[in-house]
Amino acid sequence: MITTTHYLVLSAIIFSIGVIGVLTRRNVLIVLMSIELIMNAVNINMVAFSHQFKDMVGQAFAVFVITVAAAEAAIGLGIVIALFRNRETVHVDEIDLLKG
Amino acid sequence: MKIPYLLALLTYLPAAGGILVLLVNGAQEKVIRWFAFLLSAAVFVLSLLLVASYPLPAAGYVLEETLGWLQVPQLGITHHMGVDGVNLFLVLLTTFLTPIAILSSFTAVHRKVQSYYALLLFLETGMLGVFLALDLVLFYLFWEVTLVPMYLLIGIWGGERRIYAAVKFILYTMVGSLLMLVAILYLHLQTGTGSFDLLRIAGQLSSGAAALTRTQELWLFLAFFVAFAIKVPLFPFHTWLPDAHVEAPTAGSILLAGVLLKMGAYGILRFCLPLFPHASTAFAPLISLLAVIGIIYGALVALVQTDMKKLIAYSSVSHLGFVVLGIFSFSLQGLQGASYQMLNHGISTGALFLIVGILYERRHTRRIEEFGGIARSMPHYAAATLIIALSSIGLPGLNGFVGEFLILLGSFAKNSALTAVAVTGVFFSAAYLLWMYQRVYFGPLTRDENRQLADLDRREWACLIPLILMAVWMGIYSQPFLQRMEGASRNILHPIQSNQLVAREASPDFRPAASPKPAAGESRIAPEPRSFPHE
Amino acid sequence: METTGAGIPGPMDLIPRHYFFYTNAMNEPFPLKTVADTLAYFGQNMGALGPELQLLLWALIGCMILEVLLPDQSKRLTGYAALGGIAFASFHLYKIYVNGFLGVFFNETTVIDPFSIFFKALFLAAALLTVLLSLRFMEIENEQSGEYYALILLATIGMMVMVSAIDLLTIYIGLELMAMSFYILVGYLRRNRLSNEASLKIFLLGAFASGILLYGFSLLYGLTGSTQLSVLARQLAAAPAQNREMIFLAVVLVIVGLGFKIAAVPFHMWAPDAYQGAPTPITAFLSVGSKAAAFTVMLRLFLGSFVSVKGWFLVLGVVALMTFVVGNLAALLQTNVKRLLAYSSISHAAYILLGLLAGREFGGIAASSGYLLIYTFMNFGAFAVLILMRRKGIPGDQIADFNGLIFRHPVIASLMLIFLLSLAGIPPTAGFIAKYMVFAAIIKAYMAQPSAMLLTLAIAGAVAAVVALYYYFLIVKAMFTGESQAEDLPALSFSPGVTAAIVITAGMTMWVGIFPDTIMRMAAYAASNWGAW
Repeated sequence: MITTTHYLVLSAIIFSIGVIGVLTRRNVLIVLMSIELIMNAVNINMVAFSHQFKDMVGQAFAVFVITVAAAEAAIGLGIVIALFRNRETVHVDEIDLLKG
Repeated sequence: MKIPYLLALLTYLPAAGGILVLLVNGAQEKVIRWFAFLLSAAVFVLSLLLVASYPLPAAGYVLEETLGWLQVPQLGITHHMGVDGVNLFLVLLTTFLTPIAILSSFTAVHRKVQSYYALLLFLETGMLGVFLALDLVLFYLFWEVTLVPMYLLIGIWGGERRIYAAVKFILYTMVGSLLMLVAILYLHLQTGTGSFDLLRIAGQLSSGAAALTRTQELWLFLAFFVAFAIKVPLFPFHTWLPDAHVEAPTAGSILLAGVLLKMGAYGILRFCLPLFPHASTAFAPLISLLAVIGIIYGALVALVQTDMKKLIAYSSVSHLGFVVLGIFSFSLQGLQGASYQMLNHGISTGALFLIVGILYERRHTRRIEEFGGIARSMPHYAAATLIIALSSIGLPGLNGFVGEFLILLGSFAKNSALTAVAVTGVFFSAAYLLWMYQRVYFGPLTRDENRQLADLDRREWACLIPLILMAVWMGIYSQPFLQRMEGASRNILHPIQSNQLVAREASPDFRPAASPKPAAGESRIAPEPRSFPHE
Repeated sequence: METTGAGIPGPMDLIPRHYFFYTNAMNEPFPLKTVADTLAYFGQNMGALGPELQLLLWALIGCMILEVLLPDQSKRLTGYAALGGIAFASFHLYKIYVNGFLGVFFNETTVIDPFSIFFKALFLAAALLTVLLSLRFMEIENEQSGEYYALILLATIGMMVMVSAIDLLTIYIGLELMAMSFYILVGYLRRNRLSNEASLKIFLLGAFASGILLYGFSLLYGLTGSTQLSVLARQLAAAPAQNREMIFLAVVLVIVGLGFKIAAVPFHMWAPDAYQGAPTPITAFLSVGSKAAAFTVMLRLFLGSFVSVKGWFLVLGVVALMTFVVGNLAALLQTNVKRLLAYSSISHAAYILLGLLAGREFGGIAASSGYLLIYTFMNFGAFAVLILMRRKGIPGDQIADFNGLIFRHPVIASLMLIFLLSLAGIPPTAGFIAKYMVFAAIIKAYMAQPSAMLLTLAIAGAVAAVVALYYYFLIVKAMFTGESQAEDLPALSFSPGVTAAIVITAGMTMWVGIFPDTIMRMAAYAASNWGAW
């Protein structure tokens, strides 16, 4: 029997993978994917709770999150492309003109 | 003559003039100079009305006014100003010194004339506001307003290390004043009057309607006192002063020494003593000790200076030590002496800076060894300097004597040992000033540059004569000043004495020689009205 | 799972009953059975979103369509369209204020209360100033276009949705609308590497922060079964003891997520880079609008929904302390004015946090609101002067560029002095009033409930103000005492828009400083009837 707790554990694992990915990976695209993982962890939570409470709000929330995540990915990729045109790199460590 | 809103008019007229100056075409240097001078002179004349309308005897505030400023009553901030014996002469000192400072810069300043005079006028508004405000927040506002013009005066028209000096000046002062702001807010909330009005808060505290615990009072006292002590400056908070003085332009030095330092001592008199009598008494021994250390230290360091301005700056540390000593003697003589010494110091030290400025304009140096024997090339100048130097030393017959004598008299009764040490400060001050005088003015004229020095011109005479006249007048006829200070000084002492905090020696029956030269048949103020006003 | 004897629930059973019955402004049930009903319902509720809709309309039609129709040299007109949108939105907001059109709308997801009216006015003012500053700036940068202004308006809509939101979902939507507009705006100078980089940094960290915030929201939903702030408050207060750690975790995640948005230390690392690289008007907008919007959410959450939660006070207090220390110390080392103002903006966030920490009973909401409004004017003023310094071929954002400004442009130098004094909190400027309100609130709170944290915060605030004075005076020093540069510098880039912005901001800074009662009354209005919905 899969209970809400199982979903929560799954989502916590995915969330942690996402956070660790953001903090440790140096390739912008992988960082973007990690952020997507965090969003999906949220969605799993939301849907699981929604099912538990018999409440639609959580599912509605998840739909919104998916939509927003899609928009965010589009903007993110646009920014990466603009940057790549000027700098020819997608590595966070090399993006270092601004500091101090 | 009764002018409505006289105090507000006095305060804001210079600032309005300053804005006008900014609007004038900057190329018209002469117009700007004369406008600034005449405006500040007019403010002085206006301020004389305060004395004219000052009734005698008077104990409380003879003139109070509240302006409709903020429309939110629950804030408790009011535009409340007042004049009593404590601030009357400080206001006059400000309005008296500002025109002299402006006049003294006619030839010294040619860079950005417009901003220079505008800033001097803004500064005057700030200083007058500090002295007149009876609302804690209003006081704080003006206190801060004086900072920026002074910073810019030092920073733009100052000497070589001007930026260092200006930044040091503003940072030191800000540290103290922010603590004071926190304390003001705390005090306001603690007394629960819903008002920042000094008189109402003091009334609440003295009548017992609101009480501070001992710890609260000590901390609040310290927060206020440190802000004021930095400004005074009391040893060991004095290190900003020599730098600021040395780098400031002459007019800046005159106003800094003459008026800005008095703001600190005035703050102690106006706020620390009436609001926190217990804490004042508790800290009095320590503060008196610091004051005496300052007297001796300032004098000793002044002795070894080679820069005349620095010498005078350290002499200020010494002289203001006397003022603080007098205040914390909690005796009528001490308090009156301190108030009197503030005026003396304003006049004689202002004049000394002016004198150094005159020499600097001619030779562009202030180093003592560059001079020698200039009494021969500038006899009038030397004579004027001598009078001022003697007044600063405290020669009987000149103003400095009266103040120092009263202070020592008052504090001797309280602590004879400390006072005895402080007396040596008087001798030291004779030593450093006369030694400087001897090195600069007497002896052979060794340097060619010094032979051609021109003596005082008419404008410089016009600056110096009023100061010399005041020094003489205040030395031989101090009665009109002390008389007007007495009632207010009693009011300040009242909360301290009524709490039986001070031993008997400061009691009313030890009150004979309030003035060293009591005029025959003078009417003393009846000792009766001793209750705090607006109680 | 909990299937009952009736078998697996169908989709309709999952939908709570009240979803069929939308409530109108009077909180009466309002059945939505037909299309006509639905339209009528939206008609009733749309009035509440009037300003937002105005902005949307002008952003889409005014800016985007004009962009397509106009030839290149008159793209500036799209900026005027944006101004028109702001004017109409302001008018609509004014009508809402005058008519007292307060209440809860859209099935308890949106509220119009004094707090939201106050902040919507603030956002509109910020947007107005941004557009005024951009008109000439974008021309110099050769990036004049309609999308830019449309995005400014969209970001403003996002902020307005945030401040009206009383549901986690609405908060999230508003936040993302704002944040995404900013991601693009920060990187709008496509050919500028610094701008690209700034945009990438704000995007990565912003999206990361949104994710963390969302995770916190999802936990809150799981703990309380609702996303409505009022239900959240009730449920959290009644939460069983074993849930306490989980609640605390959720609240900390929310603090992290919003901490990024207000650029509080240690979540501030994106801010200096993003501020420096972004087009200067956007930097100003970012440091004022985005911060204010995030603060409105923080105020609603922490002083509304989380009041019963233990522990967040300490966490936020430590955050504020760190913000004071790091923001001020890092600012001391800067040579770039934009970066310096970025760090100054970080330390200002700490003062606003002080208001939040003082709490609602002690005037904390009014203090924070008033601070944000005053900060809007003084900060935009300082950035407006910075924009004047940007000329063709000269970035003009180093401290050295200000050397001797008083000799070349005395009026501009004097105005910059006013803005810097105000940022430093010296009377008689507005900045002093802002600091005064915050200090008054925190001391009042301390006197009611003495705690070491409140005392430390008050003292840290006072000390930080002195340090701040030092670095603001680095610029003052350069302007007034620095050696003037070569004579052949091109003139400052004056334009009607920038002049208007400077006049507005300087006027407000001085006026509020001398007559603070109006702003205090406005702040008190913002805090009135707070959370009454």
